[in-house]
Amino acid sequence: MNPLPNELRWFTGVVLAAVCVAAGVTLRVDNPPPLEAIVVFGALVIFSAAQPVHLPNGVDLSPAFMVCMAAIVVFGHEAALAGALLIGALSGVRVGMCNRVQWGWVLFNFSVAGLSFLAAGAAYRAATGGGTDSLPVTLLGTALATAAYLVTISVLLGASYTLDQQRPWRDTLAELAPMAVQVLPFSLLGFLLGRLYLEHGAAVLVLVVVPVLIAREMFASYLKVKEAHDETVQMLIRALETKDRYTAGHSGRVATYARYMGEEFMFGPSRMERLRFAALMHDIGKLVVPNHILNKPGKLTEEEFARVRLHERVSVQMLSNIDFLRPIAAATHSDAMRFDPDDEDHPVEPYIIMVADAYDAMTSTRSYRKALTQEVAFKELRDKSGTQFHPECVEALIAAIEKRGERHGRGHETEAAFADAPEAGVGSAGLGDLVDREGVKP
Amino acid sequence: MTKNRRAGVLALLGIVAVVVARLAEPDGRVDDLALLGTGIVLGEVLVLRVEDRSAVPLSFAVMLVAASSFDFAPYVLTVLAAQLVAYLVRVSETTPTHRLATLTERIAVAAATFGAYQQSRALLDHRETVAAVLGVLGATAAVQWATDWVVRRVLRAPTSVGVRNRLAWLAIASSGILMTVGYRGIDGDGRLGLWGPVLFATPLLAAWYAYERLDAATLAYRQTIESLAMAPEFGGLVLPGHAQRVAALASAIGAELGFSANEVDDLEKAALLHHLGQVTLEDPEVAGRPDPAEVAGVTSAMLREIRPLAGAGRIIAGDADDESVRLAAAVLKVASAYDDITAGDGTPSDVALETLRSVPGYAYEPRALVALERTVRSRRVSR
Repeated sequence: MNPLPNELRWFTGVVLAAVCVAAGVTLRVDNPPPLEAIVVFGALVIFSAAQPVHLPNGVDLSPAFMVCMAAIVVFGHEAALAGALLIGALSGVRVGMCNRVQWGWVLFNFSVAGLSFLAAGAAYRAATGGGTDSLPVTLLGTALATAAYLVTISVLLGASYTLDQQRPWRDTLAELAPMAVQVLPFSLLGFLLGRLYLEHGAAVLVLVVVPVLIAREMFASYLKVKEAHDETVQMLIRALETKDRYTAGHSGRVATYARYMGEEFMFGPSRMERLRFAALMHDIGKLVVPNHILNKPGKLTEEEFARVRLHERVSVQMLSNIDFLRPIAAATHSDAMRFDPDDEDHPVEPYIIMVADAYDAMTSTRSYRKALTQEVAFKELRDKSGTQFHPECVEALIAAIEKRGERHGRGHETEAAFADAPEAGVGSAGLGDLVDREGVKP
Repeated sequence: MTKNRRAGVLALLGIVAVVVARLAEPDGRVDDLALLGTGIVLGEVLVLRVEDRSAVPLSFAVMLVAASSFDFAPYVLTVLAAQLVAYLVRVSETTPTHRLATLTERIAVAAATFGAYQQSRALLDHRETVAAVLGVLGATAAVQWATDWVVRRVLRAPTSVGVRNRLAWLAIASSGILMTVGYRGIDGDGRLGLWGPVLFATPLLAAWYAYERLDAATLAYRQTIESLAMAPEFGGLVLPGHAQRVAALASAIGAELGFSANEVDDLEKAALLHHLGQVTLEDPEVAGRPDPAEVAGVTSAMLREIRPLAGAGRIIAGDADDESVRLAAAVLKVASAYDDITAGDGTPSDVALETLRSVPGYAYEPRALVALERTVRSRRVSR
């Protein structure tokens, strides 16, 4: 990690000064928090902060938030502010980061976390106005404290990202939004942890910390397996594609276009993931078709065409062996699949992959023809929309590409140009009109 | 009906039962029993899946709560009723024998829970002794960890209980005590009643969620590799099922030789994928049958570029400085050769073993050969 950029030094300085002022004021308003609780929760928060889980969206999730909420509940009405500030600031300290290069970041985290939890403590103090510690009131206080924390940290982090990366404010907030959901269960757990400490003392905390740490461990393993899966599929497909220089990178591009459409359709994360793997592996059966057919320039004989078609059946069969892809594989009819407007239960994923596949086939050069232009490809998709392609998928892809201002097709290919490929017609499905179809079933 | 939807329906029915019980008998504890019974049924649907496709149900934690606060008769009635409902819920997914075995196991655990709790009740009910009980539990967990570690690392033998399994039991046990503390408090303090088990189930549910995701991801990854492993046979390049059989045989030999779980895992992946590179080579119809060394070279070069498969790639290459990688490579070679001989034309295993032994010039590593022989023998006995 890089040292703290200059823009953020000023920012950190200002926030740190605010934290110091707040600490001074707090100590006048609040009673000093009990020492035993400071030691227990201070140790617990530093330990938790050292166990983060790195989520794919770049957010680090650690049980430290839970410990801070617990501390707020424990310090209660009398010492909520001072306790929250102290434990919260400690939650920003990562032991592993305390070296010369990252010292600036430690201060940054320290002051941002301190100020955010101070806001949380203030909200808790306000909610538990009369100093009551009944269950509903403290639960409400915890909810308000969580909200105050989220608002404060969003403002602080949003401001710092805007300063650092010169990005619009709105983008940063959108990026931070998932954090709000991830924080909620930890907020409830923190509340329980605090109540337990108040009722029964420190020893009982083990009973909460153990399952939470086990959950953390398993979740970290899950993320690791997921990453390994992703890397394996992506790299293996890329390596296997090298056998055909014309289609190198094809699966990756199909996955990208499929993602564009999935985003237009507002798919959830698990559906997006399934779509991604299905798109990456949609051509896996091509591995079984011998090289000399795949790379053959010009028209194929009927027998060769049948062998190429076989690869689609094998693709479906191989995908059906993977449980989480089976719903997509089962809906993919390997032979001459087309859009069927009457079949309303048909999952949309195979149609998405079909459109992505056709678009990439048209906009990249193949052994039998040069790449078409983007305009021709869009027109071909729209011409066959409703008969061969799912109309919503076609429009979603075109909208997504135009929104991004991307250009594909002739003159915009990333792979090297293939001078020896012949000029030819549309051939939207990749092979389509190159074969004399009289003998092949329509 | 999906599992989550089924759990949702059961939870709703449970809430209705609790409300009805409360209305019917405002002063009794039937509503508590209804809630705990619902918890047990839900805990049978929600399980922590561990490595060997077995599972630890969350219901064990709820049984602890019930055992802590009720006499024998209501405890038995609640547990039996809940287990019968769970038995009916399972009807669609398992065989009758399996369901009966599960039911018997659950009832045995329920009895043991009750017995244990009655013995230790005096300790858990007093503030001074709770810390001591927790300390003993912690020490037990630590001893188990240490034993596992010694068995795996020092004796290099496979442990019967995996890490995920141990942690699942630990999560269930600590959450069970936590929910009990929430329900009845310690020494009468901090009693939350019905809310206790519900609120204090949160850490366990978090663990359950993580276990579920891990299990789904592991299965998906496994099936993807197995599916990719079939590419060469779809292309007619190897005998059908070759990769799967070699993987099963090689990992059995690896376990016989005392490989660690990670080493067996790498060996299995190597066995599954050891022909994969062949599909990128020139068509055998055109270029003739490829040289095995070339196939291994192409495959290992491909896998070594991919971080999670790098270990498998090193095993396929077989030329590492590392002794354990060389041994794993020898195991793969022996297993693959054995399968080529036996699966091709149904050669009996004795003949195949003799053929491998008599190959001149120590082509096959003696230790791997001995382990192969033992593995094949024990398989024949178990059949």
